[in-house]
Formats: sequence, structure tokens, C-alpha cells
Amino acid sequence: MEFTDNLLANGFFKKAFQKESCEEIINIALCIPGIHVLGVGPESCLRVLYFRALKQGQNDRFHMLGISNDDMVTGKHIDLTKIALQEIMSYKSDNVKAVIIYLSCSDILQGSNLENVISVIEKKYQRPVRLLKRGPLTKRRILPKERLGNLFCEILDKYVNEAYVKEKGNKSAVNILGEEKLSAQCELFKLLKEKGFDQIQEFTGFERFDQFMDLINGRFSVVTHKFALNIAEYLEKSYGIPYCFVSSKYRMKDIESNYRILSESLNVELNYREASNNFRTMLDSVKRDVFNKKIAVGLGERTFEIAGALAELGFCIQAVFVDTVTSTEKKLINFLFRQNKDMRLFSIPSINPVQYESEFNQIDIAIGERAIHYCSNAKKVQHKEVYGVGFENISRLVGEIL
Amino acid sequence: MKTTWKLIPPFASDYSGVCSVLYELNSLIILFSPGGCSHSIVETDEIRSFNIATIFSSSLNDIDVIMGAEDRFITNAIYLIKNHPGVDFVSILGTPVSAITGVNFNRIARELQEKTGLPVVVFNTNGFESYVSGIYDALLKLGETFMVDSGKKNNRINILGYSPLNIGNKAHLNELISALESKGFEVMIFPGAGIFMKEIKRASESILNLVISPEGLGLAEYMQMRFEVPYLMQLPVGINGMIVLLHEIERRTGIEFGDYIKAEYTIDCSVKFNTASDTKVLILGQPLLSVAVGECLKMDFGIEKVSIATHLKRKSMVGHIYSNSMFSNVNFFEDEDDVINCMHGMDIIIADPLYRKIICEGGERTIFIPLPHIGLSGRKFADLGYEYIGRGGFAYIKSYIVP
Amino acid sequence: MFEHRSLKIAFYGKGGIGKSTIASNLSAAFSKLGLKVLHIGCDPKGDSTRNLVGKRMPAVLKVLQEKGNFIEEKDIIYNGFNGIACVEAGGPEAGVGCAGRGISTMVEELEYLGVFKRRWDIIVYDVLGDVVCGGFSVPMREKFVDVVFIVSSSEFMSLYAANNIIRSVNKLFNYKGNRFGGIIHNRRSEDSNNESMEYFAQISNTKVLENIPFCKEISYSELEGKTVIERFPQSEISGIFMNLAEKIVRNDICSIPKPLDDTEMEQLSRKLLEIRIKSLKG
Repeated sequence: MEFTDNLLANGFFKKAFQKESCEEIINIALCIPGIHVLGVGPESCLRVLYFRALKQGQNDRFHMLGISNDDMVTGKHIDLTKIALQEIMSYKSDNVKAVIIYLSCSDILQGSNLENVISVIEKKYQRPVRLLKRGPLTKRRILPKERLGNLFCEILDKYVNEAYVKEKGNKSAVNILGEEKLSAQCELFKLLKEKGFDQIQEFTGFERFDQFMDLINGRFSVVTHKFALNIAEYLEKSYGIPYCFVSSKYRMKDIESNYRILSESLNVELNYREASNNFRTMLDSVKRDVFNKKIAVGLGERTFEIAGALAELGFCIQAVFVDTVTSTEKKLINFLFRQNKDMRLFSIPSINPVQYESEFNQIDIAIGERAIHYCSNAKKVQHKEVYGVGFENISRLVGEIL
Repeated sequence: MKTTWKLIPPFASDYSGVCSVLYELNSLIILFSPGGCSHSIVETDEIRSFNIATIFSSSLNDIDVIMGAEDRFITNAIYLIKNHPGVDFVSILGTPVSAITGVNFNRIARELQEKTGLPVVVFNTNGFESYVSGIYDALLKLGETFMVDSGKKNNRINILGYSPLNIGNKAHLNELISALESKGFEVMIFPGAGIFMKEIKRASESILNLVISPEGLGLAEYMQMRFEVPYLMQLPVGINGMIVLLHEIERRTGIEFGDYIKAEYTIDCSVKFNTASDTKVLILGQPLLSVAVGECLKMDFGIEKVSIATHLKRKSMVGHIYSNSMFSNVNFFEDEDDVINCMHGMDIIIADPLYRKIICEGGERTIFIPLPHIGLSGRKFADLGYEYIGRGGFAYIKSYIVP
Repeated sequence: MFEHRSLKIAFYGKGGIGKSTIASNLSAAFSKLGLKVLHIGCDPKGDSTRNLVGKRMPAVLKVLQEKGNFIEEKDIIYNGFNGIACVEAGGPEAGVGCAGRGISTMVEELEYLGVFKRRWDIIVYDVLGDVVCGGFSVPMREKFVDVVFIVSSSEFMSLYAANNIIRSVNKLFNYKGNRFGGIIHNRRSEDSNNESMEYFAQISNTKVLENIPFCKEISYSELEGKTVIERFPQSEISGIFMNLAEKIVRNDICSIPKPLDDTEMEQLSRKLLEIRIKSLKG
């Protein structure tokens, strides 16, 4: 394994690249109607959340409490949070089923004690209030997204009682538990419908709070993002709803495994061979000279997986741009070097753009914002992953490359 | 009094403000942050191409923050700087986390400077303040750090206080610059782009600083005191705004603009517009621009009943910056309900398009003139074809009032 | 005695007042009473457990810094005198980082490793000085602590700190009833006198649980990295600690304390002066 400079591959510094949205959890926190979010923190943190919520049309349930430096150091923001919670609870009060307090680094550092305030408000309004600590300082043992999954379970638990289960527990729908709303044309829906699973309830697609409660009325859950694993586990434990986990994949063997998991869990035959043949046929129609083009990949988290998938299909991966390398990625790196011994692995903070200019200029196709940034002569491929259980993402990517 | 906000976002932060000033300079910008702080710049605040600037952010985990990461920061920054040999200087910016843990930036800067030989400038931002204080401090700091007395004066005018966050795209200033250049002035929008290190040495040669936002006042005052460069704060909105400014420059520099004004700015102002005498106008936005737009409505369009509001918080630094008597008629609101209420019953509202959705609730007859404020709405409306300076500004406002 | 529920107590007090000495001796005494003890030092200095372990032990935060997430119980829990389980939070060097957050992280890490779920009879937190920020109040919060004790001498600044701690305790538990256990008077010097301490306890509506006399056994044992319970089990001072340990275990929480306001603090300082003059004359 060769780096342009080993010393900076530790991920300490990350370069800022222009992005539409850095994946965040505010949109998931706001995805259930009736669940409001109170963002507490410095205005610089709240601002970016506002625009993320705006993009999804979720501002109606997002409340911001900007904290000044003085309020923070004197602890006055705790009293302000109490007032803010009262404001939200009294605002069109029937519609507020629960409030998630969304904290950022500053409060986490201060160890602000909001437990008392929460307990007073919960008692007064008889509705759950939950604290979500998120951000880079809270990722040690459990990711903020997973923590959020737990909060949803707790809220569900407060609302669903035995009577509700008795009345509603007819077990017919398939729950789709993930972080993005799936497109109606996606492979997963197609497969489910083909096999007769007509009634589908999607976690991110609810229009009313009671639809969220109806999650307990599922016969099966398909988890599409690991954020929702805790919810699926909760539904299995409390309501006996089994689940399986199939996330988006790019590599053939992973896609095959997705098909296998899905078919075993739903107890139906799914035709992986046919899907894979279709993909192969598409690939065969591609002009051979494309495979000689030099490709650079750099798009954040999935860089190695995507580079690996393309290399497996015979594309020439010439450069990979990364912030950091995890231990699990080392195997993939070795594979990439075996495919192309001249491949360059760039740790972004250690790139001296002038020094590598001629190398960057030889790249024909740049995939992802990091690669595009450095390889200005290359064809730009701004690939964005959307959820796909099968070949959707890799097919689309190959299409974009062409 | 409501404590929470929902319809309107907070303004861009102080470190976004600093970044917006440094953006086109050849500086390596490093944020001391757990990692998320650069997102607001990347996702919303910066409207220019991302290929220009080199912004890095540390990604500290909880243990780094608890045990102190200054030494790790220094070690890694040295490598980072060595891999960016072409930069003129290094900028280090603070965020809420560094403010709370009291990071010793001066020590970091001293060590980096010693070990790399490059100038290292610390901007004491904390993420609790708005872009106003960020831009103000950044301009002043650049001046204090890099300006030298060249000992002579020529026909140069510096434009101080520009940032996309308060003024928008630089192209908005084209008409103003053409007017000044027509009389042989050499105009520089401070701190310039790319050529900063060369130009900064000549900044003190100017005969006048034209301050186009209060964020430039600190530097203007500094340059007046240190290099005896006088300043003038004005944003020439509409026809009258431009005429008043050019006359003032004429008075101060002795260069005559009479023929230019006659040729370019004698649009027939005697034409009275169909605006009833009791037309009520509200301008919500960046205070200096709002005051200038108000003046334009009065002088160019004969509209007198103008109120001006902003929700910039007049605390700490912002309070100081906006203490000028010029802003005595500006309402500084700190409650979202006050902002909403002041919009009721208005015939014309001139504001960032983000406010439009508030008016829709019961103000169908109100004329809304979009005037994007990047420091508020980020890049969302930055490309709207709006103008405010000189003839362009006049025509833009006219197109709404007299369709 | 505890109906399978551990008693969780915390010692607070002004820096350098002898909290660690008292807390470690009490932990030793609890263990002598046959209790299963978990002793947690919550001070960035990381020396609370020295007298129990016999040397400085690795601090949780230091281990986390070095090993990342791959830590095990044995890396951070050391077996001390008479089977006492010892944990030391540690923290940054003076002047950098965020020690308060360090305490919260240490507590979260122990929770993650399931340490609190084990059957302890008593969990002892020895916490740095005053409640300087939110992080240091974590042990004081309801989930972690049943009773808070203050260690103080009768000097004014020590009582001043004690008064602030009482205020924090009241604030943190204002709707959950009283959680204040009383003051332990550490007579570190000849100047520290019982009358002053009793006076403070009286006007702040609390009580003095014990007066720990100044004695050379304590300093000798500390030099050997031991508690007096271990080193001089038969001594008078050991008896005092054993007595105090029994009192704490009986868990009779005293009345709700009333912190003094600024004027009352000023009056207190004059009263302390009076007592001092009287004792000098006497």
C-alpha cells in the first residue's frame, strides 16, 4: 500500500468541498409528522440545519433557539430551553406529539443538565421530550443516527398501548425502515410488488402520526439504512415483527448477497441471475475503449467501494482521493493495486496540487467532488447514490461514465 | 416575547464572514473544529466557485477535545502547510468548540510561523457571533497585519467592506467602479483577489476609502489614523444615490464628475410615478443597503413612508458597528413575531425572498421586491437578477413599482 | 442492607482540602465493613486511588486516547486494597482541553462497559474541587448519585466553596427531595476548629458528620501509598473513619440545607474572626 504521504492519511484535516448537503440527521429527526425538533446551540450550528430542513420542506416543525456565548457560559440557556419547550407545546398543541431537543457540540462539552427541564415539561404536557446529542463529539460508542433510532422507539412506546395493538394488530404491511424516501420505481418496491407484497409503509413517507404508530402493524420490516436497525430490533422484540437489512451496494457480490438475504427473509424466489444478466448485457454493449480511460474516484465515504466495483468490471482506476483510510478498507486497496499497479492513492491534505498537476491532467474521467476538484481536464461525473437494493446504482454510474 | 425562531434562519456566522473575506486570497484557511463547522460554508454561505479557496477543517473527536489537541493540530498543520507551498499566508479560525475550551491560538500561530516561515494570522471567531463581526475583524486584521505605509498618495480609491454575504456578487459593483474609473481613478475592492500580497503594499497610497458596508468601518478608521487616508461610508443606490456619491467624491478629491453625471445620470426624474402619497414601504435587510434603498425611494420615486428593519442582534460587536447615527431609524428586532408583525399592512416590501412566505399569509396585494441578502439566505437566491446600485438599481426597483 | 441496590455517594470540596485522603480512607473502611466497593476518582490530577492501589494507575481518558474504542474493563479498573475496584478518570494537563467533558465521557464509558450494572454495595465518587462546569456535576446527577457529602476545613475559603456546592446540590435536586448528606470536617491544621464548622453547619441548616483530626498516621500512610485503615488499622484515626463509614452506610440524610447568600457569607467571615480571636485569648 502506497500513499503519496502517509503522515496525513490520519484524517486529522479534511478539505472542504462544495456540496449540496453533507448528510445529516436533522431531516430524519423531522421526518415523522407530529414530532417537532428544537435545535439549541450557537446560531452557526442552527443555520445549516434550517437550510437542510428547508430543502425537505420540514421547517414547520423545526424550531431554533439560538444561544449567545453569554447565555451558554452562565447556563441561562437551560431556562431558555424550558421556555422554548413551553412555546412549542402550546403551539397548535394537538399536533405536537413529541419534541426532540437537538444539541450540538457546545452543549455536549458543557454537560448542560437538561434532564430536570425535560422531566418538568413531560409531566406538565404529558408528551415525550427526548434529548438528541449529535455531532462529531458523540460518535464514540453509538452513532447519533442510531441514537435517534432509539428515540423514535421510545416515542412509539409512549403512544402504542395494548388496546391499540389489539385494534390494529392485523399484520399485513411491509415496513420500509431507512433514512431516505425511496423512489416509486426502485428495485426493492418492484421486487416486493412482484411477490405480492402490496401494502408498504415507509418510515420516511408518513403523512400522519398515526401511520408512524402503525409500524407495529407490519408483518415484516426491511431495513434500508443502518440508522433504522434499532427500530427494527425494537419492533421485533416488542411486536414480533421479523426484519432483514439490505443496504445500497455497488459490488456484484454484495448485490447478490442482498438478493439472497431478501429472498430468504421474505421466503420467496428472487431472480438474481436475470438481474445480473441484464446488467452484463448492458455492460457488454459499452464500447471497449471506455475501459482504457483513466478514472479517478473521490466522493467521501464510499470511495473505495465504488472504485473496487468499477475495477471488478474492468474499468481502469488510476487515482483515488481520500481523507482517511479505515482498517476494513485496506483489503480493497490491495485489490485495487493488484488491478492496476500504477494506481495512485492520494490523501487529500497531503496533495500539493502543483506537484501532481501533470498526473491529474492525464485523468479522463473524475467521479465525485474530490476527484473533480483536482482533475480539471477530466470528464466530470457528479455521482449521487440513491437507495438501490440491486444494480440501480452501479448501472447508473456506468451510464454516467459513458 | 418568543424565544424560538422558525421562519427565518440565523445569519451566517462570524467564521463564515472571515472565510468570505479570505476566500479569493491565496491563503490556506484552517478551521479548529470537530468537523461539522465547515458545512455551513460549503452548503449555504459561499456563492463563489469552490476551486478558488483552500479550506481545511480539523476533525476532532471527543478525546481530542477533552485532552486538548493543540499539539496534534500543530504537527498536522505543519505537514499541511508544507504540502501547500504556494500560499501567501495561513489563516486559523476558531469555532464554538475552541471558544468553550479556550484554545491557545496565539501559541499555535507562533509555533507554526516559526516552523514554516509563513505568516500565520489568527481570527478569533467563535460561531456565536454573526458574519458582521467576522467580516469587520477580518478586514481590520488583514490591514493591521499586512499594510505598510508607502509614504505617497496617488489617484487610488479602495472600496472597503465588500463580502458576498453583505453585498452579493461582486458584479453588483461594476457600475460604481466604471463611474470611478471613467475619471481615471484606480479602484481596488479590498482585499482584492489573488494579488493581495502585491496590492496590499499599495493600499495606503489611496486618496480615499469608500466604505460600502459598516463591516468595513474598522479598517477605514484604522487606515485614517495610521496612513491618513480619509473615508466615506455610502452605498450609491439608484440615480440620486449615485449622484450624491459622485458629488461627494468630487468635493473630496477635486476631480469633477459634472459631465459624467450629466451624461449618465440625467434620467428624467421629474416624471412622477403612480405611487400614492401614502404608499407604505418596508425594507428588511442589511441596514446600510436598506437605508440607501430608502433614500432612493424617496428621491427617485417620491415615496416617503419608508420603514427599515433587520433582525441583526444589536449585541456585542454588532451593536458597536451599527451605533452610527445613520442607523438611528433602523428597527433592530430580536423576536420573530416582531418581524412578522412589522410586515402587516405594507404596500411594498423590499426584502430577501425568504421573507416572501411570511407575507403570503394575508398580504396578497403587497408588492414584494426581492433583494437577496446572502448573509441570510446563502446561495439560495444569489443568482436572481437583482440590482440596486445606480441606474441598474433604479431600473430594477422601477420594474416592480411601475410594471 | 441495600436490597440489591448500590448506594452511590460523592465527595465534593475545595481543591487541596483532603477529599481524596478522606474518600480513599472511607472506601477502605467500607470494604472493611464487608462491602463491595467501586471507587471512582473524578479529578484530572488522577491521584484519588493512589492510596488504595499503592501507585498511580492509568486514567480512563489516557487509555481511551491511546487505545481508541478498543478498551476493556481490565485496562481501566484496578484491584485495590481489600478488593476495592478502582477507576481514575484523569483528564487533560492544566490549561488545555475540557476536563468537565472528560468526567462525562468517563461515566459514559463505564456505562457502556456495563460497570454500573455489576452488584456493587457502594460506589464512591471523589470529585475535583468546586462544581466548575456541567461536566463535573455529572456524578451529582440523580442517575449516578444518591447522596452528596462535602469535605471542608473551617477556613473561610473552604466554607465558601462548600456553600457553592450546597447551592448546586439544591439546584440539581430541587424537585427530587434532598440529597445532601452533611459535612465532613477535615482539620488539616491547628487553625481549623470545630466551633467555626459547627456554626457554619447550623446557619446553613446542615450537620457536621465527623471531625477528622490532623494526625501524623495519615501523612505517614500517604507517603507509603496507603490508607490508615490498611497501614494503622488499630489507630484512633482508623476508628474514626470506621465510625464515619458506618454512619454513611446507615444513610440518614440530613435536613435540606440552605445555602448562604452574599450578605450572610460576609457575616460568617466576621463570626469566624470572632471565634478565632476568642480561641487565641483562651
